[in-house]
Amino acid sequence: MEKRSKPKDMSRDEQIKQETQLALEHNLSPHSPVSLDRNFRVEGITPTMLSSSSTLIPSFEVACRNDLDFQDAIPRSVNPYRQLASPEALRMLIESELKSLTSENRELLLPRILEQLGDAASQLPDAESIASLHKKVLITMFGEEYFKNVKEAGHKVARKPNNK
Amino acid sequence: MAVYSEFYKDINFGGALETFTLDDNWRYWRIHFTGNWNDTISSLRANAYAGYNGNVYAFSDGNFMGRFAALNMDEGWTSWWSYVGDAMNDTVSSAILVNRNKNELVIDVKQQVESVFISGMDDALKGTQVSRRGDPRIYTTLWPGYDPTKKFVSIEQDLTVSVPYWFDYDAQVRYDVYLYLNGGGSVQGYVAWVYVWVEGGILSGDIFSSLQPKLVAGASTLTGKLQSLLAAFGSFKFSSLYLLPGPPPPHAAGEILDVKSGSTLVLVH
Repeated sequence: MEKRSKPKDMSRDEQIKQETQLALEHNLSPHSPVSLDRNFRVEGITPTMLSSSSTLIPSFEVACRNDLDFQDAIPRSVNPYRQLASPEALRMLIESELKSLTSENRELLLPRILEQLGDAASQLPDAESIASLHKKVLITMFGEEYFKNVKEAGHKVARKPNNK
Repeated sequence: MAVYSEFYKDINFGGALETFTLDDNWRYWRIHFTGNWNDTISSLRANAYAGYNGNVYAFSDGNFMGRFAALNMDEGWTSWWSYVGDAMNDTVSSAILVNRNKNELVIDVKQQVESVFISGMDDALKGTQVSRRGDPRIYTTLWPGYDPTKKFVSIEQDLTVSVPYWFDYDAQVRYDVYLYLNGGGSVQGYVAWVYVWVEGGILSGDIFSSLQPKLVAGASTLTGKLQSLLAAFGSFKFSSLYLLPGPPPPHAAGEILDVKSGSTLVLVH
């Protein structure tokens, strides 16, 4: 009996029909009904079992050190548990903190100011409405060059060194 | 903080904005774009500073899979996509920010593993009804649902099962390799999971029952080969090991690729 080859464009309906016909010819029957869903397949995922003497499986402490290196976040605007001050209050706070920046407190204040900027921006429908404050914070943080070439049109990826 | 990023709903950094910052206590910041932020991002920008280089990856699927738009930043640099392109536009569902150290060994996993896997697989399948179909796809799987705290190098191979007097069946095997640093800082690894599927049909169940145990048993052979490859690093001690999606990031500002295009292992001295 010749080998059956399956055309690439054969539909699942047609494949099952032809297989059923073959099965009848050879007195075979499937152990369970076969789904006609286009994506049906039989699958399984198995953890591998190493021998009890294997030294490959890390201890709990080693696994934690390797694995627990991430934090999770979702956008502020879809986080129902996050309470944010109003954009206007945040704007005033940011302006005040920028004025009080010194070389001594810069490293402490700037991350907080960036966070406040994100809090304010997430509550606004358009980042344009805080564009000047946004620009002021980012230039203070990253230098004058940050916003050069930001108006490139189309599909472009680029980079620029800060403070140069 | 070490990586600061901005995601915008419109092109050219317009529309609504969400910002995320990754501080230097963590390697990854995992972002899930849910609600009205899912499938809406068109541009993004990021900066690395405070002693770190950095990467940002924005994925089309919610589980850090699919296609990604990546940004690569040396410390003090800003990189951006003013438009992620038509294929990625309004598809981003998840993202990661990654802190990168200065003193790293960056390894293209596919280059190291592919030929060893192919020759081993061909040896194991010789004389059987199963044959490889195409070359393996080697990629990074991040925190999958079946093992949500771990990252893997996945080796995925399409197979053809030739059934006498019948249609051929498509099948696939995927080996998830877990790499880690042991207590002494040496690189170790083993195949932690094996995933098999067989195309749906009247003989699927029988083929799966016959094929799957053999492919699962092959995991120990693959683990042995991995140990031989990892022995090359045996005399070196590292402080941190992590994975990146795709092949090693180029020096360019960014790229758009499929997650299954490669896997990068990073070892920090």
